[in-house]
Amino acid sequence: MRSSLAINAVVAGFGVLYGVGALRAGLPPWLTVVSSLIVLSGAAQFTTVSLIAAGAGPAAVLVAVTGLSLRHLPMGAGLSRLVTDVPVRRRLLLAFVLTDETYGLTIGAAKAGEPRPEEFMLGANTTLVCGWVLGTAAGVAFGEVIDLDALAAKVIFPLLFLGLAREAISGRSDIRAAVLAAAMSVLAALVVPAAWRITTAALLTAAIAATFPGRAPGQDARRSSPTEGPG
Amino acid sequence: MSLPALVATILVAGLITFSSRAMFLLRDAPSFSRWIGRFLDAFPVALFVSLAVVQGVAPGGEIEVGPSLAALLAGAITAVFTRRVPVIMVVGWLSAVLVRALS
Repeated sequence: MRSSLAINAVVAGFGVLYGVGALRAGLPPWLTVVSSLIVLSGAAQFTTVSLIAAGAGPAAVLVAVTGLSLRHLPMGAGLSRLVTDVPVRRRLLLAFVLTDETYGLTIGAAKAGEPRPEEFMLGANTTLVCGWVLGTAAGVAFGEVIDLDALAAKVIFPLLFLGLAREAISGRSDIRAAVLAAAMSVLAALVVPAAWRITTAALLTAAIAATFPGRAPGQDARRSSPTEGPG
Repeated sequence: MSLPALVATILVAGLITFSSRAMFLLRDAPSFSRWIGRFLDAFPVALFVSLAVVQGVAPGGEIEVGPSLAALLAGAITAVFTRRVPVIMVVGWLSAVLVRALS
């Protein structure tokens, strides 16, 4: 609960930052707020705004958004193992508001024994979306008078994701994956375009971790808990 | 970019993000191979560590030494002792502020 509140506060703050940035990049105020409602992805939206401000065309923006969105595929696949016996209409709603933050919170809650992960996810999603959209609206409305600390903007999100990574770590194989992901992220910065770094580093890390799972005793028994399907 | 192009770009971007989210989440209780199962188990940690680290690495692969790195290191050390996100964030943030004040 405290994690969720802290994350919502950070997300709302970054919504403000996005609102200010989008206006300065030339998006009309109404489109800035609408973009937060329908794109609903901080990474994709900040990238879009940066590219538009740099004079990029729609094709460049959409290629970047596609690269960033590829990470949603394994996120959705992972959550589909938790969200069972849920009607399609409800799944659509869950999919519409799936974010990195609520994915992390839901995985963490499922590992902690949450019996109804989809209810948890829906609640987390709803508050987060409200925070993101209202934060964007606040940025649009008060952008001229809001003085955001540049250092806060630079360090808070990495710390938030570090915290979510910690919530997802529950064994030696996760620690190995974390170390490998850090190395892959540095490597990706050397050879991969900016918009594709996160997806590339995360996908490669997970692929390597799946191929070389290690031999920790009891690891397989733990892993075949509710998050793993048959076969 | 003209306003119609902006609107179309945002709409298509929304369609891309929604499609990528919905593609697997809409499937009913899929059964995955063991490899995919392990992949999906490892993915959350891989994703969040990548999201945390990528922002502190310059395009040439250089790691920026300063408040951001101090925050990340302090957050990582704190994460060894606790899994509470607010604590990790507060310790990391205070470390960044301290390093900025000292430098």
